[in-house]
Amino acid sequence: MSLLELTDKLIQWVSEMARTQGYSPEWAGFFTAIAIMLAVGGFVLGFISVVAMLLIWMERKVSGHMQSRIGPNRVGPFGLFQSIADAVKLLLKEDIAPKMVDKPVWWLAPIIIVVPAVLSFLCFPFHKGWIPLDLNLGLLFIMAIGSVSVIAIFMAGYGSNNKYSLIGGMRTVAQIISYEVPAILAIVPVVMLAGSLSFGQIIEAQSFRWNLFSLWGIVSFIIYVISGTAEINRTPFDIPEAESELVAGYHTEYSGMKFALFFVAEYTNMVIVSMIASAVFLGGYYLPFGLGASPVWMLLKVFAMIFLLMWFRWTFPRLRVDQMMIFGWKVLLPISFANIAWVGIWMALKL
Amino acid sequence: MNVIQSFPYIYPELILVAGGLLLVLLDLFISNKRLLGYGAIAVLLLSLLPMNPYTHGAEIFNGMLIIDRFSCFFKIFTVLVMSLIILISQDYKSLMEKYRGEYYSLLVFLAFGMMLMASAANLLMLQLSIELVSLTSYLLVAFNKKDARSSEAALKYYLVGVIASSIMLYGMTYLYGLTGSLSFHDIFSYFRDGTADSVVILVFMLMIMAGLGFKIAMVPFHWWVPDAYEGAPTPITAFLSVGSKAVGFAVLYRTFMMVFPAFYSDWSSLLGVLAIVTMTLGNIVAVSQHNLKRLLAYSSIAHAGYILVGVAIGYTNWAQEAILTYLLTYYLMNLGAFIILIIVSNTLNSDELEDYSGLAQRAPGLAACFALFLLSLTGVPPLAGFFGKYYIFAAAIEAGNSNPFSYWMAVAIAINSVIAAYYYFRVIRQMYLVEPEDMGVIRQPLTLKLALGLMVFFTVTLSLYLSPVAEFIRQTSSMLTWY
Amino acid sequence: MNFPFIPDEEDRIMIEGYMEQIAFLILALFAVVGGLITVTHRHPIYCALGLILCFLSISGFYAMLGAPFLAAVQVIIYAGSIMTLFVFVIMLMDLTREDLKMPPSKFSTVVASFLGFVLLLEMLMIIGGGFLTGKMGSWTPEKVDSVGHTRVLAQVLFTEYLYPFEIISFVLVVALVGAILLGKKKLHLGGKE
Repeated sequence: MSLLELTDKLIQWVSEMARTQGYSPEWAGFFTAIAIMLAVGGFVLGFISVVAMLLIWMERKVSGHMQSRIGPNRVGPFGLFQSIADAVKLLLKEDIAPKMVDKPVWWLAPIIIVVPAVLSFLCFPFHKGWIPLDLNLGLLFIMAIGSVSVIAIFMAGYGSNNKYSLIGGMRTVAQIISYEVPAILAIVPVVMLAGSLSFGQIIEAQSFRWNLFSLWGIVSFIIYVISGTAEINRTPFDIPEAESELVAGYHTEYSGMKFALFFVAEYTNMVIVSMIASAVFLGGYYLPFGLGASPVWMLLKVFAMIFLLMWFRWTFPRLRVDQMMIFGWKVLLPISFANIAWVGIWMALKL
Repeated sequence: MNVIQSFPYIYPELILVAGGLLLVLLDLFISNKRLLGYGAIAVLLLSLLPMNPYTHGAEIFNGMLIIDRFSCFFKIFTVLVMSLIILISQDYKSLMEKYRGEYYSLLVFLAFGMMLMASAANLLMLQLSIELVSLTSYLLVAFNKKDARSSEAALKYYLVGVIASSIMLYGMTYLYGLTGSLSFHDIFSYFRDGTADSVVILVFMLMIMAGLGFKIAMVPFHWWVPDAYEGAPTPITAFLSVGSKAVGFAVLYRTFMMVFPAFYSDWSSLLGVLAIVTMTLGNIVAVSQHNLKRLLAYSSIAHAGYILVGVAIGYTNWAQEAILTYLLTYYLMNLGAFIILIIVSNTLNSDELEDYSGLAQRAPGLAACFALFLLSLTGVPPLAGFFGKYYIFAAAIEAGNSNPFSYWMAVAIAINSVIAAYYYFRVIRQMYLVEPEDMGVIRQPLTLKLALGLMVFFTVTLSLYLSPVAEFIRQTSSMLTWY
Repeated sequence: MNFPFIPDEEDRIMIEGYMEQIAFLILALFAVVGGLITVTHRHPIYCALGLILCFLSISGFYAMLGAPFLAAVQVIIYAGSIMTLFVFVIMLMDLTREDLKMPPSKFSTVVASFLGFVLLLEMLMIIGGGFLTGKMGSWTPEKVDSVGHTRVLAQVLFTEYLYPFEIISFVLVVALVGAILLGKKKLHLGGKE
């Protein structure tokens, strides 16, 4: 709450300043509007940076323990400040731009990739009524925003003027566009049953019985988690940035702050995917069977989902490109269609 | 009429869709593709059954489509064209055997699209049906994928088509923005009641004319025609020159008559000028062609010009009858000519004019039929083509001063017939008066002979005995629904 | 959005108005710049990027006009389709710079500018001529809000526009058949290729 108060103070200060400096109320209002926009933007940016740093630390810890190591343990208690140290390092590093890159495209890519990540937090359902913007179409909105990130990745791949980056970019396009389809289709049964695309209503519909507690729910959940993993390019679907084939894929040529932005976007996207999975299938902020509701549960579920994604990363080997495509189009897609048909029939019979 | 009530009116379309999809499915199991072709013809003929050519008209699907005699005429026409195209494709050699199943089902889908075009009464339906027909046509033009010319033709056709259709869509968005509705009826009443500035509307009409002009190969949008006609598989060329053109005219006629009657004086003079330019350009360029497909392509541009005269004249009964009669006769003679092209190219692998030298000695029957069709296309008096031209001519004269260009159009038709005679007779001369270089037998498969026989029979019958058809057409056109 | 920071109702409305205007101006700027890039740039990748900038800004307009579904769909569809465009550009075109700097033909520039000017005039005439007071559709904003935007869309789509909707799906079927047909590599069953 203190952060909110701080923002409030800031905005009031701007408002006061504008008035005392002799501007007309209209100009004062204008400056205040700009201040609010900047403050909200800054708040969200700060929030996702902190979350990303936390997750990077978590990933390193988790992977360390899965490989019988300890992971980061020098900076701060349990190495908690390791990420901050890394962030400072990345910020201070020289910003190297290769000579042959396609300048505008290459420069814009890391900026654009953060935009959908930031925007997606608009619909984060912390608790009943604690949704920054409970859009009627929240789910669709997040899906739409998420599909923009593919453009940024492709821009990075193309702009780097490097064949590995380009291949990485092309693979990303193929992968994200293919897996977006089952991801959306997996959510469709939930939307059909809840009769809404808004997060608030979808979660309210699960206040007693989570969507996971049914055959179709399990199928949908599995499909969603798989395609979500693919959409954020994580192992076993990290084909666009496969180290052993493509150096680092689309972000090979990036360093310093730009690289950090890609990193932030990746981890934020992880949060978003986990958030959608928890809200849509795991009852959001509700415990099952009416045992209670609290934002803590929401956050716990999100972190559990993130842990699952990390677990995947250190468990499964990477797929080949053709396997990935075949799996998406020939396995996930038909199953999700069948699932929708099944839920539809079930609804028709029940009604 | 709402959705449920509308269903009985679209049985023909439903039959086509179901049949076409069934053919796609059967294609997986049946290796004798010839059977699929006959199946496709059966589907097409079956769709004739629920049609009522003497219907009293209905607006179905909340005014999306109009079922009237005019649309029914074009639906029957579609079935006639498409079943003949399928028949003549059976023995067209250059098609890949393996993909013939898809080919036939695409033709059935095409028939479906044409039927939609014939009865569209809503800008959305119009665009969608044109899109369906165009898309399928692009595919079919590109069907010989081993042949580079076929791919080139498809690419050109596609690019021009997409540009034309997006221009039309742009014009439609303006219309929608202006009138707040997509249905022909609402737009019409808006123009009738309102005081819309005709200069502004003229630009929208031009844009819509662009999209439709592409389908009928009207002059500023004709440059895809020769290449697409030359590269496409010949049955598809035949389709483009008859089928898609005919429904294009149906749509053009209906759209302008229904939506823009308030601006008749603008569009009729515009179309009048375009008609004159189209027929003159088509005929003049056709004179210098040495490839028969290209020659027929330019001649089809010229014929589009003749039919455009009917559209430009517009509301008179003469004009409506003239358009329908001309399309019917044009269907017979032009398809006939293309059948001969298929037969000859099957053996000679060529459409060049010089390869037709001495055809009269190599295949006298074929040459005689070709001569008949060419004479009919020229408009030599006792033949069917003459009646078509006569109707158009008479309509232009009868219209008098209602269209400022009607006399000019009549004069242009007369002059153009003379030019056209030159190049049609050149082909006949090549067949009859030039000695053949070799005397190899020209193989004439049964299906093609059957199709040829049908075309000859009906051309001759229509030449001698036009009155029942004319009566039918008169009834059809008397019932065209306006608002 | 409801801001707790500004207690005064009037101030709030004014400030929100400003925010909307600022957002509109930014979006409009992006849309126009994107459109200009699309048309004028000689490099196909930049053209595609300009196009997506333009489309995303337009989807922002939709959102501001109270049509969030349209906005979301616009983003989903165009993000995907423009990516496909990128892929085609990369795969089908030789992106060596010299080719791309080919000057546009004078004639087409003149003709295109003329036509564009005519259309601009046309647009101005419509807006200035009071034509925009066209007929009000049957779905007023209040009515849409009372039923719910998505619900209205679904109702209209599956009753009034059911037939066109089905036709669209049929067009897609045909396109699929065609794509498979033309895209297939093997020309013969069990053939050598």
